[in-house]
Amino acid sequence: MLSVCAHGFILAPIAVVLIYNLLGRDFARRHFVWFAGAGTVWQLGSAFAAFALLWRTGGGSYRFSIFWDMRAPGAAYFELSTLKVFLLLMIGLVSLVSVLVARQTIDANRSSYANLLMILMLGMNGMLLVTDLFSLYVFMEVTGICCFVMIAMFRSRADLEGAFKYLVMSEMASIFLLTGFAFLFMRTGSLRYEDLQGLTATGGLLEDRLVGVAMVLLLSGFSIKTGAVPFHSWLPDAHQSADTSVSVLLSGIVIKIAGVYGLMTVCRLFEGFSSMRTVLAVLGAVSILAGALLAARQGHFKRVVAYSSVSQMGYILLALSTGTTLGLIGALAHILSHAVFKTTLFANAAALHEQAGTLELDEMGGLEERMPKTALSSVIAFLSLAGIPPTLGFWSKLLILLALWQSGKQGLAAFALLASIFTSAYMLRLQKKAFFGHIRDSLTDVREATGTVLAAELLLTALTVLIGCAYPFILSALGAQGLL
Amino acid sequence: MTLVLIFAGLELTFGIYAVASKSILRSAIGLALASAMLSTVFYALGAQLASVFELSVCSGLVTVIFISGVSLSHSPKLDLQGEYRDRERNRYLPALLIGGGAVMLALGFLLGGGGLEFAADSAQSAQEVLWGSRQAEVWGQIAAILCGGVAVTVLFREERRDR
Amino acid sequence: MMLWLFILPLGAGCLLWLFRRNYALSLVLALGFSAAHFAVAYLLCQAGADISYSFAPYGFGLWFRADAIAQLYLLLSAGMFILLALYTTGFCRDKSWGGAYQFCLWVSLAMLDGALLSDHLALTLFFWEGLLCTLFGMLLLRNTEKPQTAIKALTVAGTADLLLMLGIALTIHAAGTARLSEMHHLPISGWGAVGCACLLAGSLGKAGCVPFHSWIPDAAADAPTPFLAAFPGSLEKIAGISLASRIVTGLYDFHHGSAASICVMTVGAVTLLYGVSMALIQKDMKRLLSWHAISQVGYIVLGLGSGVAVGVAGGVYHLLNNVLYKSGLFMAAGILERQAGTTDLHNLGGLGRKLPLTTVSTIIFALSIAGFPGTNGFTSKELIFDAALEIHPAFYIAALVGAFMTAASFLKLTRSAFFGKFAAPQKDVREAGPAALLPTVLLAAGCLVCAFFPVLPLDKWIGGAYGFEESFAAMPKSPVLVGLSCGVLALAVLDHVYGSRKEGSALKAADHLHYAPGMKQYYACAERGALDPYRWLMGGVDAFSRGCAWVESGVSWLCDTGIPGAVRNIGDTLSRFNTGSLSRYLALAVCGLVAVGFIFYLA
Repeated sequence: MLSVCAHGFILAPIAVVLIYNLLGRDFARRHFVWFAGAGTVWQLGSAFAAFALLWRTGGGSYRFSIFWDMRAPGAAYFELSTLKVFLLLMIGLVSLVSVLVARQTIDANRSSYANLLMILMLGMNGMLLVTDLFSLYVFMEVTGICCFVMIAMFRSRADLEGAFKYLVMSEMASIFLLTGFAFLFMRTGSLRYEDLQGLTATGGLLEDRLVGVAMVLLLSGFSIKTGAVPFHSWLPDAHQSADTSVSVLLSGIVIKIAGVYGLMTVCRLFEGFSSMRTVLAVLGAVSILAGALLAARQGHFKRVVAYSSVSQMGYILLALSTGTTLGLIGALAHILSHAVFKTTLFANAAALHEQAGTLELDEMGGLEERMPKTALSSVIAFLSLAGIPPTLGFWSKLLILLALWQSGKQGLAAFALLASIFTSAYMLRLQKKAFFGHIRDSLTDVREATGTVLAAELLLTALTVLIGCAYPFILSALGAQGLL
Repeated sequence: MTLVLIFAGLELTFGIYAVASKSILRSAIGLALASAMLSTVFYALGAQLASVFELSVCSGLVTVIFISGVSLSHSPKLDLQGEYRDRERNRYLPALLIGGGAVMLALGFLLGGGGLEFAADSAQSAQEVLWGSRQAEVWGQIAAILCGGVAVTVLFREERRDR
Repeated sequence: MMLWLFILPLGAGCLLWLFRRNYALSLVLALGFSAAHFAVAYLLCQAGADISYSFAPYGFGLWFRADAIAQLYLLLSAGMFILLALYTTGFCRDKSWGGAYQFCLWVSLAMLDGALLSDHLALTLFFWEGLLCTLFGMLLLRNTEKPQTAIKALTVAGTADLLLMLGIALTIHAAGTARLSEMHHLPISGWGAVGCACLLAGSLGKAGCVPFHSWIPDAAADAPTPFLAAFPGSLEKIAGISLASRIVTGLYDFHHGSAASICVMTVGAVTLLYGVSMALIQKDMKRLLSWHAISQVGYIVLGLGSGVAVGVAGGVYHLLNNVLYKSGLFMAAGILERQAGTTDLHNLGGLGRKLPLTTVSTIIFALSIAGFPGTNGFTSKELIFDAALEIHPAFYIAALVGAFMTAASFLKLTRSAFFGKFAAPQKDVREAGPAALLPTVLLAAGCLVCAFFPVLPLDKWIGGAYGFEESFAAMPKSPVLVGLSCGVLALAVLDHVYGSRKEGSALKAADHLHYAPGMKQYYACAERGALDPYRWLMGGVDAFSRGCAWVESGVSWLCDTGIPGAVRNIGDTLSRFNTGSLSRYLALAVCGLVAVGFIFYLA
């Protein structure tokens, strides 16, 4: 069973792409959403199953290979672990939401969305499953190009620029990463996880200047992908240029898999470098603050949300900087809660764009009376972002603060807590400008969001609240496993 | 060693020319030359197979496709740089690239220029490498090919529809 | 039986308020109830020394004790009150606020009785505060639109009461019990010293000592004259001095010559001098008398603070005399106000012929207060001089200077008001009615009685109450002292003559002192209010509230302007890095790389 799930992570997206392209052109074009939906549902389902199976056997990892013998000496392999399966689950969830939004925002003319989504999922799955740094890079490139195309495909030539900027920044990250990998390879002779793990435990590599520069490059490269300040510049332009369903993907999962997971891997492999954690802490703190301050000045709904992503990535980086298990769990929890509330906000953006026709904050206002459900989901997303119980965001923030406090970085914990004021401030401003206040005359005949967008909003709101209420059980389960 | 550096420097120069040039045709030629320089660097470092691939595919095939594509389109001499809204880029990008290159060179010397070991270990053939230890990347390559195919169809189909 | 001491005044107050419009009935009620009250007090005293009474309803304990000291003051106040009641009823005859005033006055009597009789310090506090409430009420009655005086009195007297509260708490803590009868000779050290100081401050402040004096001259302008006769004149003094005398004689271990004693005497000397120097320049009779009231308290405190028997006896006797002549003087002022229309000395003159009985009484009072040999005031003053000299000559000199100025001031008053050319706003000036005149005359008679028979009050009553063996009623021992006192008086007369010749009128007789170099600045300061502790307090409160307002505005600026502005500016600055230019992004990324490198290597 586990083997089916595991193989499916790589093979299923390819299968969907093949089927989609082999079927009749018109039929496929009209029902592209269903294909995409099928792929994401499969991902979600198999991730759940894999998670349950792995959890039951008490964690551990599962190695597998597709059509080659991994037991041969020097052979590569894929690996599943509970952390990776959790992230795979996230990919499935966010992709599903993206499909739900895409059903209404993307018309049949741009039906290659299905193809691109599947390949993107393949790229992200691959990033998670591989056990070699260079393979990680390859799949990351796939992800990057996919994203570029997705951003570019829906826009006129003028906004192709946003996609191009994304591509160039992505290439910058690639330059950094490749250079870093090269330096590492020069010193260690191998890029596999199992070879690199534990190398830094002994003193040898820690003093090597080349390896140090490699670390710096790796950190910077993955930070560009994460969208941490000062590498964040591409995020808002990319989000604004892209269609909302693509923004959902970008903010919801791509920056996390391509960026945060990369940082997690680097931290895990090179634990001996304590200064890496300091760098992460600084990047995190600066991101939180700068992201929040910038978000407060934006006038476009999606730009605010984009900068909000920058800010929230800062929290995740802070959690990672502790280097403890609790910090890791906090980061994962925050990945989940951020995915949920960010996608909610983007679903709201889709609804607003579709119904009210505008995403400029100055043209909106008072939409709460015309779009109550959208407003409700938006407010709950805001509560989650602000960290107010019993939503999901509260728990994840709590875990992060606890991790910071326990690892002796009380100052950072206090800073994170105080910065929540700023994060709440810009989000509150967003809510106020969009949904509350006086409704304009031009907006009085706006109708509530319909169809899958509404379904997406409600689903995510329900998730926020329900998982948030169920969190104590989750925490006790984690405690029983000895992880807390 | 010095040979590698010279060729690397030439590659950088052609690359900058490719990016900064106002004519797309000239950019394509610049790209071809940069790839050629890169292939000589590969050869000088001992990776003959990579050098051959680089020269034939990137320098040759890609350039051919580029130029044929440009000539098939309606305006081969399109002043693309002028269309580009980012005017600052034209002014600062070359300086930036040269500056960045200088920084990296300096870093290279700082980190001990003699540290570059030639990867002369070509005991393994390409076959062994690809199928023996880099199997996971095969799937990555598949994904990349699929991605490229879809990208081409999406982006260029888009262009035709817009017209 | 003690309960009657409360029931009678309360009942009288209610009835008098109910029947305020019926003058005859009010008179009868006032006289009747006050006489009954006095009778009950007298019977209580006859029943013997040291009667205890505890009353414990519902588990509360109310302990009352009429020991010798309490009996003395009880009788004094009860007796005085008869006259006060009569005078007040007459004065309030046609006034709209009369009924409420009477009510407050009688309630004050009940409170005073309670304060004098209570054995439990917390109970004392309760009655003390009751006196404060009625004080405020009486001051507010006529001046509901301009309650500044009432508020000032409340604040100043309230502060004194707060100190008393603190003193009571500390005393209870030091003694381990709250019952006065169980406290003897507590040591003045550590918390006990603070407690003693606070208790003294509270009780002396009630009596009108510096720095709790500043409301009295203001009250002189705003309050009805019977109030002045009652409160600063007699009742408050009795309350304050009774407690102070307890402290000095038995409650705390008060040695003459100790630091505490010197402190108290200094306060007394300052009060004395300050009061009389301010009185000297007043041109309104009521204000003049109120400043003198303050000054006389200084004498009492001087005597009490000495800690020797002669001083305490002199101080308490001086209190008795004060009750007699000060209230009398206030009553006379009230008569002037009623009959002549004003108490402003500028507009008065030559009233001696029109108000003969009042004039004679006033002259007797003036002689007593000045300390003319042979009067009761002279005896008490000599005793105090004796005590002061025993401690330190400086106090003696201060007292002498005070005597000089008192005499000069009263010379000025009597000459300008009652002698000389006739002048009054009311053309038809007739002698006052019996209700007002009788108490005044009786008080004057009382002064004469005490003057000729000092044994009775001094040895029998006061000495008996405090347990002094020595007899102070005899002629003063030291002829030198007597001589000095007489000399001072003569000097005062000479000075008055000189002054009135110089300025041309009796009223301006003290002006040469007023405008003397040094004194001029001092008086100017006082006129400005710079020497008024109430002003200092209000200034401090004002400064504090302005400080708080400043902090508040600072905080709101921060929240409304500062932080949002900073956020906006930082946001805008950061936005300038995100202009959409790719090269800027790349440059930023490279800078980021360098920064990461720095942090990596520095960490």
